[in-house]
Amino acid sequence: MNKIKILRIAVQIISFFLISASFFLLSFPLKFINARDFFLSSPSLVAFAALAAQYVILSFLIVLIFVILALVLGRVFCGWVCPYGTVMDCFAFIVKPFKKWRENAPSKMLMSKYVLLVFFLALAVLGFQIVWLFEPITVFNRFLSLSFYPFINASVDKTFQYTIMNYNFGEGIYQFLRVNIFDARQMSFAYSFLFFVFFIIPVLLVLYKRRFWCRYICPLGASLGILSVKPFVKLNLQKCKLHCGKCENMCRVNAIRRDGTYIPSECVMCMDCVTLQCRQIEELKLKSEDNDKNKGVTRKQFIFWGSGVLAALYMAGRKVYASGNSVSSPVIRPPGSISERKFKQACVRCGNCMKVCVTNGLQPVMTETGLDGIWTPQMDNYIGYCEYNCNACGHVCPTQAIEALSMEEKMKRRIGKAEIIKDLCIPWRDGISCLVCEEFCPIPDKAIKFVPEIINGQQVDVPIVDLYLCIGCGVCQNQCPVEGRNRGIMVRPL
Amino acid sequence: MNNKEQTKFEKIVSKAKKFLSGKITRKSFLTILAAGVAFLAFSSNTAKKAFAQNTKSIAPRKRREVVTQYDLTAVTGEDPEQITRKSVELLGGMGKFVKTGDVVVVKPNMSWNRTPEYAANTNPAVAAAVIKMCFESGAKTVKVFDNTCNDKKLSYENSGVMKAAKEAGANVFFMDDWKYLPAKMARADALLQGWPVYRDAIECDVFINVPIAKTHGLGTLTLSIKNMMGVAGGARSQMHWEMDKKLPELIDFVSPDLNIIDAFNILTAGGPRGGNLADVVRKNTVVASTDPVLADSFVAKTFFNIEGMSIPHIKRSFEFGLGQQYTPKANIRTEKI
Repeated sequence: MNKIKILRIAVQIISFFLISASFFLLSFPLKFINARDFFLSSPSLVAFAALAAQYVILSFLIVLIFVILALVLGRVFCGWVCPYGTVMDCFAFIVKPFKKWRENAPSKMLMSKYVLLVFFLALAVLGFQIVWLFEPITVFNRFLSLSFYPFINASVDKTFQYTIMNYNFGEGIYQFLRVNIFDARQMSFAYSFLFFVFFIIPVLLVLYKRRFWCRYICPLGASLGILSVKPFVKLNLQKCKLHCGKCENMCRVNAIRRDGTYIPSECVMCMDCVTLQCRQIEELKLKSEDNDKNKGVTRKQFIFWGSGVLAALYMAGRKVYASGNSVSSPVIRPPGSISERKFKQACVRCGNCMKVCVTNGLQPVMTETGLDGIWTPQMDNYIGYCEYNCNACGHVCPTQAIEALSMEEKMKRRIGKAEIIKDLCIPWRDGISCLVCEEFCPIPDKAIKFVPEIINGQQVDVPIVDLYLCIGCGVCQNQCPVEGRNRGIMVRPL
Repeated sequence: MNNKEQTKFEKIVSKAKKFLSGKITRKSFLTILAAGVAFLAFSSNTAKKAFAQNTKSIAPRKRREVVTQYDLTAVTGEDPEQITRKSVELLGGMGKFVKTGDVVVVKPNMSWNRTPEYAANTNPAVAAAVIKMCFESGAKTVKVFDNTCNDKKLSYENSGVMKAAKEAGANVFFMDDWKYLPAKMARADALLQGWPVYRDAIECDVFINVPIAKTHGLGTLTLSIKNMMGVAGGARSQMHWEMDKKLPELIDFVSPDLNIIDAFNILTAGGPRGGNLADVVRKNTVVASTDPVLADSFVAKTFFNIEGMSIPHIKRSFEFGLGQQYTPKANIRTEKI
């Protein structure tokens, strides 16, 4: 095997584990590298979120790293770094003995990802951001944080529960894992199986074509492809008269033409063709002589791009997207969330805020906020609450949909308002004293006050809410001893 | 390429293909059936064991009989570690309670996500001093845990106890939901009959209770008796119903060997969570006693000016016969450093 291919595989494995670890070990207080900083700053993601929500996202600067990488080395990110691509390559390697892929000359379908990208771009300009559904790193992170992580945590828990309780074995290993790898509590997320389904479909498409997703759909691949039409470093693929078809057939992204030349914007630099040890393909070359026929935009490309733009204009004219100017949300949003309409557009559904939420209170929304708000975070006070001394969610958000608040600001930021349900509250209903909500209220001056009242003929202290002080953290609802989803005190969205 | 290996690999692949597409004979059918039944039986058996509810229950903890010179010691001074050491020394030293090779549980109050200066959690220096004394007396391991009200990790870390205890050499860990076992109370009609209690708190040689003195909305004061809430699991907010009857049962069940109340900084209002630095009063005192009722009523009278017997759960504990109430005549040693 060629040395450079071994290097590529090594880089792939290392970056897969590094990226996974940066997502997997994300927890508050933030100690490890902050997962939002690099890997969730891909150009298509950040640009589209910024366009849709119409504000500048600071991690634009980090996008420059992607851009420079693409301009110099082509789509090397896709072939060498992308963790999702690594998963697909791994799967392809596993099914290799049972499956023979046949490739022909580059298909016209390769343009489909660019058309999709233009379509997403048009939607983003109109304020409807959907790129999160297809962005590979987001899909990967969402699956890892919200589906895989709870699953593996529960499996480890159950295994050690069995060994510790029955054989008194493994206590030390278990405590180490619990303190260092997993959070202190078992997390669970609503509909977490869905994230697995969305993750596994592109991987299974490998059975049809290797790197199917990267070829035809991936918006990140498309945006890097545009940048790497003429990369600085190129493969030295000469025109070849042999037409043996070997290189053409082995290319996983269908980038090699019949005559032996290749399309730089499709090539992920996997170095498979270099390992053929064909005389024609030998080494990397800096700035090869321009032997590409492809100069500038072809007619076909123009038609494809033009159709995308036309579709966008059509949509604009019809005002397909109109969600109103709602500022308030029907659900409780994390502290520091920007106004509802912008929030739904800026949020890329990476799952970081839900993963990092210490009480597991942040849960994915399904359709409560409309179809365009699917999988955005909401605070579910039945499961958890907003911890007073914690501002983690804003600091891990890659697109600033949740503001990065300082601790002092966070402690004053109002996310909801508590309301006592007098039909359910134990002192109000039965006249039995109960002070749990007041005990848990984190506000220094206590937003829940107790006043004497005569209930059922006897005097008892009953709770009332001071709305001037209440920030809606929801710990009162979470800890209320009334059983069931409806508690004696409920926090309503603002 | 290595040809031999390739052929071997291809052989395996072709065999697998044959197996998958081949005809099913009686022999192969029976083999598959037997393997399937064995697999199901094994997996369902293990699954049952793994997911089964724990039906084992735990009996009350028995504490060692220790006779001390004084019933209660209260030491006042500037250094929390020094006064903690002095108060235990006056009782007769930690060696009276902890023997060589013992498994010791030190149960501080670290159940709120507050930093030490808010006096919502036990002073880390006091907890660390207790742990150090245990090791000096030859303890094998010292376990430190608390069933927190706020998030486990944040409460452990922000209270400062986790760091201090780890530095002192203790084993600090989070309490897991599945490690609670139903309690088998001595009295059949006990309200807490079958209530989940943490296994490690009961299965230990010595249990040292290290609460902080602070107010509590429902219980008036939270001292050593109320601190026992931290070893109970289950729906803890429901434990607040008839709390004054449940707490004496719980402390009788756990029966700590030693109660060391941290009154270095006390929280005089807004407890148990606190949050106002104005409510925190510095008293520079640590109280140690084997008797939780005496310790609680002494602290209530001395620092909060509340009669111990006016607090329901302390009064009930006294009626249970768990200790003596505080009177000025009691065998008490106070000292200033």
